[in-house]
Amino acid sequence: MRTTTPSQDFIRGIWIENPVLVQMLGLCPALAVTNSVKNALAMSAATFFVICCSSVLISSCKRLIPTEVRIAAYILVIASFVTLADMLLQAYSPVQHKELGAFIALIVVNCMILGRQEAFSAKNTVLRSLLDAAGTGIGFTIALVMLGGFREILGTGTFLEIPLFGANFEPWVVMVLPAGGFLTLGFILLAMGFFEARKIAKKSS
Amino acid sequence: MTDSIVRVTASPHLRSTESTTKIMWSVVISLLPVVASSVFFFGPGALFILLACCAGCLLAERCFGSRPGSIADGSAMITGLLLGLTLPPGFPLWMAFLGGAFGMVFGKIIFGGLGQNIFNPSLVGRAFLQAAFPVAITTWPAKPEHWSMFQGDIFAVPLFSPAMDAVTEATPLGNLKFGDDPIVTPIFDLFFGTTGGSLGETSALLLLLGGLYLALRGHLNWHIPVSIFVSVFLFSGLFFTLGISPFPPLFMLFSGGLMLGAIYMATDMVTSPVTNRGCWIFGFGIGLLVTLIRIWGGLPEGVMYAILLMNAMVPFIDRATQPQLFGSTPKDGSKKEVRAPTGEVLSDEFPVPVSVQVPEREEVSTFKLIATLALTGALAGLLIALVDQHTRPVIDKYRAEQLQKAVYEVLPGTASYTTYYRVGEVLSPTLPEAATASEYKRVHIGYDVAGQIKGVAIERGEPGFQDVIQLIFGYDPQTATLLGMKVLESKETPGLGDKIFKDQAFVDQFFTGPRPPLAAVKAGAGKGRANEIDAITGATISSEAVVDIINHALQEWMPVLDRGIPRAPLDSLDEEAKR
Amino acid sequence: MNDQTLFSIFFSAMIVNNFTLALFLGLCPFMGVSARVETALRMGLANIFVLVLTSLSAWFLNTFVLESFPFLRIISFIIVVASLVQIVEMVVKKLSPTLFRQLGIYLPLMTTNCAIFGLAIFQTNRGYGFLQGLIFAIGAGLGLTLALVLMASIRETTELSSVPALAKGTGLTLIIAGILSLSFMGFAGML
Repeated sequence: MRTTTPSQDFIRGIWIENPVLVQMLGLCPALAVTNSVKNALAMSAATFFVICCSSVLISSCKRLIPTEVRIAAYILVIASFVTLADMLLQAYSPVQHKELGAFIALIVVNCMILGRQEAFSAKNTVLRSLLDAAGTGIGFTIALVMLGGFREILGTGTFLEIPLFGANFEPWVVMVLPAGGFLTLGFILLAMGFFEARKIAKKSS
Repeated sequence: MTDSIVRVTASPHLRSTESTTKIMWSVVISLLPVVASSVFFFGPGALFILLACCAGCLLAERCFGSRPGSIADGSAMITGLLLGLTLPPGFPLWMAFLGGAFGMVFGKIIFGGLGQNIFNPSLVGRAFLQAAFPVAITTWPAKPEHWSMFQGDIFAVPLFSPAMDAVTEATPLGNLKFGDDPIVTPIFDLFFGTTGGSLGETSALLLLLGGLYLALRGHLNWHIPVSIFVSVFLFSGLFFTLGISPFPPLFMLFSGGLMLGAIYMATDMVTSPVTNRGCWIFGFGIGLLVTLIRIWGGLPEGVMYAILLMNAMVPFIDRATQPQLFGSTPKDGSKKEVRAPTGEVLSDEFPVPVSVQVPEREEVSTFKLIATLALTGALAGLLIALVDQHTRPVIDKYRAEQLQKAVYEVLPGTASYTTYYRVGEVLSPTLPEAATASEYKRVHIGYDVAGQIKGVAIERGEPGFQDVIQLIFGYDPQTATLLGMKVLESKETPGLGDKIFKDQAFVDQFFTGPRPPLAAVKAGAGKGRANEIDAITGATISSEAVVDIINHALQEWMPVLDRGIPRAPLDSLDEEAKR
Repeated sequence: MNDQTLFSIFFSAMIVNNFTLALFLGLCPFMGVSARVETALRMGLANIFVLVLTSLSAWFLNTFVLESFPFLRIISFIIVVASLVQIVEMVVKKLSPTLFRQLGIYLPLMTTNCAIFGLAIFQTNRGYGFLQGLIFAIGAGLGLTLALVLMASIRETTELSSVPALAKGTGLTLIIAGILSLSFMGFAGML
């Protein structure tokens, strides 16, 4: 029996069970396209589109899909929406599409999306699946924007390409390089762990 | 019966006078001559840089370190000193401080502190600084007029760019590798330290003396530096004799950070292998990597990377060189076999019973499975095809526009162009039957309003510094000059390599009609010849890649272009021009 | 047709633009698979096998089928990858049940491994020919294995260290990955 309320389904994906920062899913895009906030937002938008559409569709058809082939069916559905996202982005925002490159197509192997279908959409109503998907998508966006913001501010001194510190700021180039991606996510996780530990210490004292 | 001559204590009974603190401070002492020489050669600024690094390390240890007494034992001090010695004179203090803190936190504290880190913390800090501030860390300011003046802009405001000196001095390695007139700095200068370079790199003599002191006191495993020196000598000697490297072996040994790295960084007891055999493998690995990176890599120095990479391999090396323990299973792998009832061999770590039964489930008809998938697939395909109808024209139009823009940009004055494919050895405007466009190379020929041939636009991509650089350039076969160049795709380092398209002065050079085959020369050092292109300072590899791409493309296309370039097809001429 | 030489494609895929440390592909096994070198090695080898097969299939599809239906690229690629992984799973299960158990969930997880799908996409975008794609797959696979083995051996050692609590697990792994990525930058410009 489902014991969570609809609002819980929505909120859970945003932070407590944040797909990137807590569940460690979808790391490939999270690190690869977050060298600027603009890219992070574009990727998040595309992923949001795919996860919501997939969840809705799969939830509506859940009785029609036999268990044996469910994973294959989910993948087909997700792949279709990814193709749509890819085509639409290429047609209407070609510069952004070039920036994100192959990583739009890689949304199809984002464990997070398949995970939500398997864990939730296959067993719940359309509305709740949509809430769950939206919450997860928003959580993904938050994580990516955090990473992107950190990396862009330190790595180029800008936010959404608006210079923040004037012309003489010495950017930390490493932040927009792959090593910077790993280090930034590691640092964010460390910070989260630190605050978690402090919270627990406060509770027990 | 009181004062017993027999004392009863618990073991150990023989205590060495060594302690971590003593060892650390003896290392500091051995470094003092080098520190003094850095101040001697580079002025008081050197001392400030060293202090800034130490301050960063000590502060990090104080704030984040978890072991008591970890400051007094001198390990943080050493990390700071060694990091400082790898930095160039004139390096901004705030960056040095940051490097020290970073190296300490992410190279040591996060692994659990002293004795548990994998990577050398000073080098972690340096690698961070190299990646974060590539321009500042490869700028060696020229020696000032008076010794006591500060070089560079070491007091730059934190987080803001340091002022760049107009005059810089190249290091011996940089000179030989990138210089236009490569000179091999005499060994005498390298040995005694009268050359440019980073703070602790210059005097090989003092470094060796310091190392000798430590070795005699038993605080340094001499196997490591010796194996590094031997392997560098052998490998660089080999490549030098074969003529593929400009670096003589002795030069390799005494230049750059090799002495400092081999004696002080690679020998860090925590991050080097346990056994002597392992140390030799470690040393040889470092030697090989240093030689390869120095000869073929994009940066002039590779000691830091070589050591870090071998640090990563140390756990592996330790496993592989584990000494045989008495009584354990023989090394040839003849372990006692554990067999399951079914006869299948199980590893002794997975004693899982094989006879676990899975309950039978009701069979779903295969037809239904396939039908579901097929239906899903078909619906998906249909939906996508529909959207594709809608978006394909938009995408194709954009692509065509971009290509046209690029062609017009590199062939100034064109009014129209036609794409020709290389079919065999001739240019053909159409592809052979049932051929795919991606299998054929192509060029675009631009024509002006009157239908005269303006030039040929050729696209090509080759690896630059980071990844492939894709560019298009215009060439006039009649005058054999270049008409223009445009970088289409590049992933070069932001702030350095990406200047190949961001630096207008660099790009403009290709529009002034240089005569291929092109040659990239250091800015300001050119002889004014018609084929020279001034490289971007600090982005030599990227600049040279651009030049190479153009030269290689022309090499490839000359035979075909020499056969004659097709005139404009009549129907593409302007109505006006026809009359 | 891509202009790169075979050697530069191989060296770039394996070292200079390592799939894991520079392109962020294949992170799931990288972060999670093991603190055991043997398992990492075998995982890497299984990956190489699947990568090579994927490269061949992608080239085949691109040349003969997808010219007419380019929009079906993503769907067809993922179907191919899923099928290949299924086949490899069955083969491993038959040949070495121990290995099958050791790899556990990570074998079917190769379907959602960005590296395998990513290889197909990169190969297409860069216009690699048959041989180029093959060399690309081998280089990428070796690079993945190298990264996996390095990470596994380092983690084996750090398991015994007194890592601060907030860094235990993924935090430390990411920092190690960052330092490895920094170290591999030494190979830039080698081609």
